Amino acid sequence: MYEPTRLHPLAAGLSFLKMLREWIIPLVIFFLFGPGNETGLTWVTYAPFLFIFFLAVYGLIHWLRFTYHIEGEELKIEHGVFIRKKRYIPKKRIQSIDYTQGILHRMFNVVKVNIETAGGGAGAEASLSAINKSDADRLAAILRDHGTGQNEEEADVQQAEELPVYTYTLSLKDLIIAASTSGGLSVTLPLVGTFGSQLDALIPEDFYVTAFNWLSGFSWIIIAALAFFSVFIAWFISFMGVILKYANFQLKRYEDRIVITRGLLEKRELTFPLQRVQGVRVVENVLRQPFGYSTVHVESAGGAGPEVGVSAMLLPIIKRSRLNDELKKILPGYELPNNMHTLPKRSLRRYLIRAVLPSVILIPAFWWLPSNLWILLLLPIAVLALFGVLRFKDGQWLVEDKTFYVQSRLISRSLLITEKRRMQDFEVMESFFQRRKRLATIKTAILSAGVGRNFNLKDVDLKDSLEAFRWYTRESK
Amino acid sequence: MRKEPSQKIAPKALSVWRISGALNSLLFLAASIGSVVLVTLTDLPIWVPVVVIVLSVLLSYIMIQVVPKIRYRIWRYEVREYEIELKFGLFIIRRVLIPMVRVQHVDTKQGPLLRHYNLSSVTISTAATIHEIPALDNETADQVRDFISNMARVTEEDV
Repeated sequence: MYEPTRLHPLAAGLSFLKMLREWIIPLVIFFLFGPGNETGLTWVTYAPFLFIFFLAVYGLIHWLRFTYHIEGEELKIEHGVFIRKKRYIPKKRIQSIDYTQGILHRMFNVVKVNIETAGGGAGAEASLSAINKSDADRLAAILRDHGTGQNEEEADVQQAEELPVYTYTLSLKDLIIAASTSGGLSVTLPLVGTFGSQLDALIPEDFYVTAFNWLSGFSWIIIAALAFFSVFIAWFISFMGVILKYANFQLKRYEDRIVITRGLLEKRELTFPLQRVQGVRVVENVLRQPFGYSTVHVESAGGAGPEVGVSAMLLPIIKRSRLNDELKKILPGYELPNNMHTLPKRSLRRYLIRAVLPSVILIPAFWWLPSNLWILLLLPIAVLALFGVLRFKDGQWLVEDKTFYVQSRLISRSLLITEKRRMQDFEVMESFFQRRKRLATIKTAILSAGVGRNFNLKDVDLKDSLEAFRWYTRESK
Repeated sequence: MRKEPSQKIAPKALSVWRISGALNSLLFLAASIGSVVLVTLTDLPIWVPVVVIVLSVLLSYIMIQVVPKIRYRIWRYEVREYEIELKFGLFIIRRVLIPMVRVQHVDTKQGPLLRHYNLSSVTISTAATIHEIPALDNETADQVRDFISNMARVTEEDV
């Protein structure tokens, strides 16, 4: 502890795995689309393995060079493979020390220690990727005792013992519903498609000919089955992704902050103070809305302390009917309103035109489609029009006392709840065409994860929008 | 109907915008010359350069004469104790309210064109958005900047 000490050897494996993860996409691309055997250069074939070997050696050296020790009032960390780096952290500056444990950590009974300091920006913190649990406890005890007396120690203890005001735990049933309706399919399906097309290369060619001859009789069924199978695989991958991410989800509401822990293999913990909350978003995707389920996100600004701005999942899935009960306990003031303003009837036409407009790209299809198949084109147009109607119907907003609500839809329906004092600005926009119909677009921006995020609603009644403008003004008159 | 913001921007903005419009329409000039060159060198039909030239003249006129005039007529701003109100636009008219408490910093800046006319623009940044008042004479710009930065510092949230 007082002599330069190495981390647990697992750290070497961890840094190897971390680098491997960073390089996995280039490597996979190399395997799938790389030169293969055609080049005749054997070293090209082995290059990826050589590269992986190099990463392993790098991980090992990284571990050999990484030492930490306490000297006087400082924690000293020295590391670096090509460039030697030294980082000295005064004990006094340390704000929080916490452990995380991935699945590998658990197998070796080690922990990752994260040390955070106040302010300082990026790089002001340190993490020790693998230390024996007992060593970590000793280290933490020494670092926390920064000679300033008993008071701080007591304060620490007090904080550790503070009980949450309210705890929300995600039930297994909800987790499964969340995972099966996550809509991650849209991301995983193209991936499965790419892999599927690469399978071609592995199957000998004559197999194809025989198989094709044999199958051509009932090819439609085969195609349908293959399509169904890939959709299922894609769905399963996205299902497992959500399970891994949101299993053991627990939200603890303390007097002044919210702590969210989640994760199956790797436990994640997230803390944000209530006073930095900028708004809440209630999102219902098309799979969840029909069953009355929604997800709740929270937008929080970065503070001066170690907390960074977050845009995080507050409730991964919840029945809309139970939403207000939970929000009342977790973030009072951010509840669903009873009745919001809808859009005037005359906006519907503009919503429909905007929605259907992209279908002009289908026009060339009229020429090359067989004569009476053009009727098929009506389907996508009808779907677009349907979304136009839904966007019109779901375009709602309300100002009430100090709170601003605005709901809109692209594909998913999304409702923003924020407070007047959190809105960075407010804007009313009228285009030439809107002006003729006395309509306007309202727009506001809030801070989300450190950057501005715009929310707008098109084709609100002009008079209403100016009323909202008046509500936002701080004019004394 | 809500009252317009009280202040107009400097009338010289019109000259600045006309010049930058003229500079931009050099592109159309280039296109016109290019089309004439093409028609002499290749067997391109004669109506192509005619259409290009007519369009170029029309668009240049719009960019140099019409657009600056409309933009200037619409631009209004007002800096009050607790907020800044802007109204501007061409095809889309925008009215913006920026509360003083949300202002993070305010800058004045001038490019070569603005400097020639003794003008500056004022940029107002919040944590999430950036807005600009395009052309004020130097003195007004400095006043506006100092006033906003002062107010932004002292204003407490009224919540």
